[in-house]
Amino acid sequence: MPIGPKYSGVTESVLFLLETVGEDVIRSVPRLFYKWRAIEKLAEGKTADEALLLAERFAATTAFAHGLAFCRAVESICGADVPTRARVLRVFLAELERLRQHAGAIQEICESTALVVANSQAGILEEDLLRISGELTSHRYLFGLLVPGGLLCDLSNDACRKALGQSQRALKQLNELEQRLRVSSSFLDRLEEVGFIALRDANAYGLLGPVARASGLVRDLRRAQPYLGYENFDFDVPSEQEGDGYARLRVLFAEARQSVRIMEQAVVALQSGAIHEPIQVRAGVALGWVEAPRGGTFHWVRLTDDGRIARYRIVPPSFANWHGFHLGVEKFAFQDLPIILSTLDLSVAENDR
Amino acid sequence: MFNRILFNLFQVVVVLAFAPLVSGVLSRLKEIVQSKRGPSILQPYRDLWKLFHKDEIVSEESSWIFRFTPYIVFVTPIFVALLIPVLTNYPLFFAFMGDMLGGGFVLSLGGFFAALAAVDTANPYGPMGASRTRMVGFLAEPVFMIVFFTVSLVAGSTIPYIVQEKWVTPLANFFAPSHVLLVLAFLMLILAEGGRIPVDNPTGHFELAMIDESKSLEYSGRGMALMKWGGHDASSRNRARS
Repeated sequence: MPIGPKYSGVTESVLFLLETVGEDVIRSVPRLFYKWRAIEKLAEGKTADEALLLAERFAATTAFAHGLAFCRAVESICGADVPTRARVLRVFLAELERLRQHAGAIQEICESTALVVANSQAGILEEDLLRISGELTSHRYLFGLLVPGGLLCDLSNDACRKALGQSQRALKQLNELEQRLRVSSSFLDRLEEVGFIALRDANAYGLLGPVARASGLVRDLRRAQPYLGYENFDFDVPSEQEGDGYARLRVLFAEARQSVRIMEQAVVALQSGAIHEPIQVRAGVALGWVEAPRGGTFHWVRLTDDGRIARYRIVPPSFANWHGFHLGVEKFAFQDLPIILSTLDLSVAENDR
Repeated sequence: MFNRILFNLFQVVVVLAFAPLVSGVLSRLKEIVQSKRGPSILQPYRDLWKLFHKDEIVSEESSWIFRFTPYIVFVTPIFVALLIPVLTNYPLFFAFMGDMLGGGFVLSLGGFFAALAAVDTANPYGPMGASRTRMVGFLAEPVFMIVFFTVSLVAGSTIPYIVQEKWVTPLANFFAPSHVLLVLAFLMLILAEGGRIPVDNPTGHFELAMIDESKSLEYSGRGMALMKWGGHDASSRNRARS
């Protein structure tokens, strides 16, 4: 049974070849890379500022995380010391993006289970968070804020506090939504024990992000390899043991709470100061890593003497998690496929970089 | 006599004209529940108008069944409208031609051809939808039989208007426990046969999760319009039956 490369409800292109017996999926072969844009090749020969535009734009939903990983790679080549205020603001924005992206993922899960009211409620929350981001930074998806060496424009403390207050209200509504979803038996029936990924498999396939953490594989780069001063923030890394769709949903809700917790601390930690330190370009190689909303993201950059990109490699979290897609889908029924797909929160655009 | 024929025709016109409106009102209500504004209640009419003015594409691989089916799906609810009274409590002109059982058979003829046409196309989703619809049908049919024969047994007849009269005069009959239970069972049936949540999701777009929708995926233009209109008719008739 072929599905795609264009199928309804999804604006991305991916083909699934499913081997089936009746309504059960026995084997699944996802075919990706229909819209491969060769970002890594395009970036070669460009300056770091130009390449940053590419890094931010290949997957808009997690633009800030990818831009941040790229900037961090360039900064560590050039030995730049990012000012404290810029670091704290970066943390604030990265967590705002995580909160918004998780609200979007929750909306997709509700949509896939045909829970129309919850779908709208989560959709409204995602839109609220997009507007909060837009009001704070003038861009709903946080484009154009980063620059190697800091941030391009300063955000006032008052604006950050306001955005935090609005985010806290959104989180409160998200918590209420979770309480209601937890008692919707028809919703839980579709999620529980569906799309099961065992800890062993998650480990063997190197899964990342909320998907791995829902299977008991607790990996978070903010903890394992702290950056931007995450070691100074107090937060938990939520994890579940079951590895099914419901566990992944619970991890998303719990991570949204942790994000707001980090944002609260970030606003308190804001000190006045510079937000940008010009970098001195030099040749070198470095890896920039970030815990993006979908999981660990790695950008590897080699710069030439005049500060142009010689080689650039991106390992997005979806690339790793697509490897585990078949683990979730096989042995389950056709109707579960959209649900499993939404709980895995895979991005095709991120993969087709 | 003349009046009766007039009423008969009137009933057909009413069913044809108002069935899309029922769908429109329902979808509007659903959108309001979701805190959305929703389309106009006249949207189904506009959709039909649009489809009738579009080109039709028919696969060369398909047989006459595929071309023939939209007409059957469109016409069978009209036949039923001739048999079973919606507006009147006296027999219609053609009532002698069949009772409620007959009406059910005529309706399932449309369903049968829709399933055949879905298998007729080489589209992989069509047969899947057809077999799923049949599966739901197998599960729902015994309930339908029990509901149907219970109301008939009490009324001592399978002629719709007699059954209807029996259950509403005196009004106390309407609230009899058996009738209340039957109405509940019938509501479940409407959910199953009308392709509503939790059995099916009529607004779902994911091809794999469809039951009813995937049968008409290959239709376009006039064929699609007839399939849709027939579907509106059949579902509003279902509601009217209770």
